[in-house]
Amino acid sequence: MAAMDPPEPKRTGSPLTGDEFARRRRGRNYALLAVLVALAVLFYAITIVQRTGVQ
Amino acid sequence: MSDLSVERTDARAFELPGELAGELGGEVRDYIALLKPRVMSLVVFTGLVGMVLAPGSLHPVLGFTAILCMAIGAGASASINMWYDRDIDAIMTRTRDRPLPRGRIEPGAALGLGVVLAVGSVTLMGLAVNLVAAALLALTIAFYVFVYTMWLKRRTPQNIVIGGAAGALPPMIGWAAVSGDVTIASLVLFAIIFMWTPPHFWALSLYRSDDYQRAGVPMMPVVAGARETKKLMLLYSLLLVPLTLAPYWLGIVGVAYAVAALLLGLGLVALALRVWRAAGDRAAKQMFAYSILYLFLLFALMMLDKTRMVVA
Repeated sequence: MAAMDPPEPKRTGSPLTGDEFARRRRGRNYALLAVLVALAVLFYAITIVQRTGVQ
Repeated sequence: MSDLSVERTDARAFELPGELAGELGGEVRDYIALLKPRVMSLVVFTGLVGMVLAPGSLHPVLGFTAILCMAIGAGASASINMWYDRDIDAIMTRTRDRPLPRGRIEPGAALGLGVVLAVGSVTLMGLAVNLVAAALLALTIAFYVFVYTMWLKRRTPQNIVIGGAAGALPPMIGWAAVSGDVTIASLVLFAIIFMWTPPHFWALSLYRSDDYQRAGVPMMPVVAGARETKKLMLLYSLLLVPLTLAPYWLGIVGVAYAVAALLLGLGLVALALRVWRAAGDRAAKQMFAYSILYLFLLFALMMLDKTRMVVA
């Protein structure tokens, strides 16, 4: 009768559900994106300031 | 190495309840907690005061960059500290809910984050601001990680006395970011935080001594007892008060600061006396809370007084 049992949900290897794992990973990815965009803006501003020599 | 030295506990025993932290992945807030944002805020604030008090000027974008580098550098130190101390953090009540002992973040991820942030913050400081500030930032991170965390913390009750230098450097970094140098005035700012750290931290360790004892960290109350610690707290508080008047004698702030600093200092000494006489934890808790307010007010007053002097 084993063939008639519903398939087990795919294990991710952690106690978290797949949705929860994906949610956390998405959160970290968005945070990293925000950091990278902020750094790009900062580097641009620093370059402008240093090129124009304003102190 | 003295008898006080504490060997590292077998860290593997405290790593990841399910051996799966890497797969679990931490929430973004776990990574933020890894950077000790409350400590970071004090670093940023004292660094900002150093920048305001320093002679000269700095473009706001570069000023912001300097502050950001100090904050990131502090976060990097905290992350590496939590990676190294994850074994004792798991034992102590105060720290056992941190992301690493709880297994929410993999130790390697914490170390990697710390190293990347440390290198990044020092590099950015050097390229965007100046090399003196970058060197001081590198010294701060290295001192906190290698001297305090890895060398002193588990070996001597003088851990936070000497290790306190790392927490005292941010105003010097801020000063150097603006002026590009190290002067007597910036050393005085360093000395104020350096002398403030022992009574502040010993107040905490007085009512957390069981925690430190269980973890095998030789804090002063654990090694020398509460009575001796209280005596030292009073001594450091008494030495700190005249030191806080030095910025006035050096002419970087006005008389309004000096009067306020003296009154605030007398409050600190009065609380230290109370701790010395009292038997329970209450006075130590009050001393700990007041010491944070004391340092904040002291530096806020310096900043306000300097601003007032510039406007006048």
